[in-house]
Amino acid sequence: MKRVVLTLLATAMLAVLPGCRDRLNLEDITLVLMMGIDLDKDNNLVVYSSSPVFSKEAQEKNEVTQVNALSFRDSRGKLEGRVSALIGTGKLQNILISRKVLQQPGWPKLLDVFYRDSKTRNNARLVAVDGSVADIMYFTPPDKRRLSLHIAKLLDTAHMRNLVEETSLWEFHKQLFERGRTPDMTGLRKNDREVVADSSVLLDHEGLYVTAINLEETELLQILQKDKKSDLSLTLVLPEEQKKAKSQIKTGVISFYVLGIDRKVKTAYAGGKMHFSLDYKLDIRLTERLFAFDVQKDAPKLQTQIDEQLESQLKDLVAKLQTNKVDPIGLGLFARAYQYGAWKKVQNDWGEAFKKAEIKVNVHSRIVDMGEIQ
Amino acid sequence: MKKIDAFNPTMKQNRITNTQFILLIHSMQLGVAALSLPADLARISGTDGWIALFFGWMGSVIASLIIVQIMKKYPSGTIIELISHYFGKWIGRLATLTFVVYSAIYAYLILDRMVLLIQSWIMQQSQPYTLMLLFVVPAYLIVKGGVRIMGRYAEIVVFTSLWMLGVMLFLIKECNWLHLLPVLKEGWIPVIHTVPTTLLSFLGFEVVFFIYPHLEKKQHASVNVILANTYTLCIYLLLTLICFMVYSPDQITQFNNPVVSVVKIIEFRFLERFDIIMLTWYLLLISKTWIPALYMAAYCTKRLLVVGKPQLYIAVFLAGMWLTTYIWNPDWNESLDAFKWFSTIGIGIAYIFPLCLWGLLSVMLKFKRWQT
Repeated sequence: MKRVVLTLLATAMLAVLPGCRDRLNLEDITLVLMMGIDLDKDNNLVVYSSSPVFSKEAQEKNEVTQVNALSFRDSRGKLEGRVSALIGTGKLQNILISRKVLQQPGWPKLLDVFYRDSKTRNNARLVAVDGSVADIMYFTPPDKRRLSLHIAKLLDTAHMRNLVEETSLWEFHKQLFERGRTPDMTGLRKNDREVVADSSVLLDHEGLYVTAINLEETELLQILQKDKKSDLSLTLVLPEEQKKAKSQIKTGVISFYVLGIDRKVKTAYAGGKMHFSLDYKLDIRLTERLFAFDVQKDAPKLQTQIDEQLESQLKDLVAKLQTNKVDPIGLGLFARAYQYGAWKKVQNDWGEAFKKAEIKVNVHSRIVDMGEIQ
Repeated sequence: MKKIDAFNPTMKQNRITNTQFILLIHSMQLGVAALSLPADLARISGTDGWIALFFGWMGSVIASLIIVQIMKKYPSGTIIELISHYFGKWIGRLATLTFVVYSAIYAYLILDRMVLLIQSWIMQQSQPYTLMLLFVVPAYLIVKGGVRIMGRYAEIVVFTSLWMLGVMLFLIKECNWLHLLPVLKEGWIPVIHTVPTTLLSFLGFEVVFFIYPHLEKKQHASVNVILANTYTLCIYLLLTLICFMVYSPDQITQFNNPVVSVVKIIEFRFLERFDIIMLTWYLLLISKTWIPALYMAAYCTKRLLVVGKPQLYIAVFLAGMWLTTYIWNPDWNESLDAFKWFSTIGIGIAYIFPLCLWGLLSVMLKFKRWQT
């Protein structure tokens, strides 16, 4: 008797299980790999989605759609009325944002759905597009794989070589709410033949577009941030060596890997402004040298030349950041950690305080390896 | 052969080892609160909140030691037998009733919160009562087995969950130590304001009231409660410090369950969405907080009503909980409010009650008349 009751009970409970309404078949999902937002001519928000098509009958392997919508989540229904199946953003790779959107106050609020809805992926890359998002979304280069995946790989590898900053949704959220630094993200543009990731976009505390820095500046920024990923290769023209050149080819060129970065930040507060002294110790390995030099004997001399050149470039970059009132280095974090009293006065407008701050940059390079030839 | 009564503390078959004792206490403590703890602390005292954890730990260690001292005075029974013994039948019944209500609400609130977590993170479209039904059968089977089975369950779950700590360590490369500096940025005042929150996060050691008589080596009880509290402290510290260093200080306060959200960023080439995997596994850890509470409720009801089998009471409680969810269906805000309201009672039962009882007993035992 007892056994019968138990069996009946167990069966009854099993019958409840299909009550879980969250089941979704894989073939009913359209995996959105890339989304984009832009403003059209009349300044209406346009949301783009790009998703792979797994049907053998389809000519194109990628499905791109656009709709006018109020927000990302508002676009979902409209997109679902157009794409093959139900929109799923759990595999989202890139979010393209046009510069026009980046200039609209309050645009970061549009990303709210990605943080609020537990079903989205937080590691999608945020990309600032110079030009029209549609150009990239509808671009189908014949010699590349699906553009959404191509862009993801392009950004990852470029970031690995420290050529662009890469910011995920998660990191952007973190940077946006960090009063001691300003956000940055990858800059992407399209020329006639391909998509090019060769700049980084700097934003202010509100997430608004301020300026862009090029590939070389990004490399230097990553030194300043002490955020070197894998190989960091720098090429400099040493003026002292260049003077001796007699050809059209710049023979003052030297290239090297930066193997390790050791950063020391000293902070002080005096005369109503912050003082930062950034001291970098770089271990470098020469990979290219277009002029004659006895490294074995005169290494310190070469190191001094490199130091001077790097220092001046880093100082130019810092000056550029300061005039634009953006601090992607995160010096505000050091100010908070070590000069808390002074920081509290300026924490609500760190950009302005950063502009006024006095920042010294010192570089001490050490050639640990001259390469395989003398 | 004598039939084993799983609800009888004096039976030899119901004895538990030191490890089981420690892990039972620890698992009562570590539950849903851990998921929101870093944000709760940060909302009060910013990135200094972790310091307050030590005070919470101190408080809970002291309270647990007092509980052990109380239980030593009547080692063969639980708190309700102890009270009946010293204060008479009626006060004993009153205490039993209090514990029934306390542990039943405790179990319900946590079970309901666990269901809300699943609903919010994994199955948004499913009904809470459907999800709750899934936990009813295993809970029944475990509680039916008594303290020893719960102890074994705690052992299995805790040891098989250790990998989660390892996964948390993957976040270290996202950490920025500067977030923690300067230490004590606003002085001690905000830290002291955080202490009540941390005291609450250690709630659960009151289970000692009920499992002490089951402990095989009672002479180790004091060391064991200290170990249990310290283990909980270590886990809280790890979670809190990692969250404080990964999130930026003004960002963490925006998250409801920062510990789950932070795991979202861990990805391997072959595995994404660690939050879902971790949360699903974490449900086992949460289940260990309300299952002993359910045992306490069933045990007290059995003692109060005398008649009937304990199995019946477990089933009634589970059915009651399911029915409450079916009818009331609390939302997140209601759940949060209920926790807030309940925590006041928790402080009373776990911290103030043992202190008063201990004082009372010590005074009473000074007079020979009371000694039996």
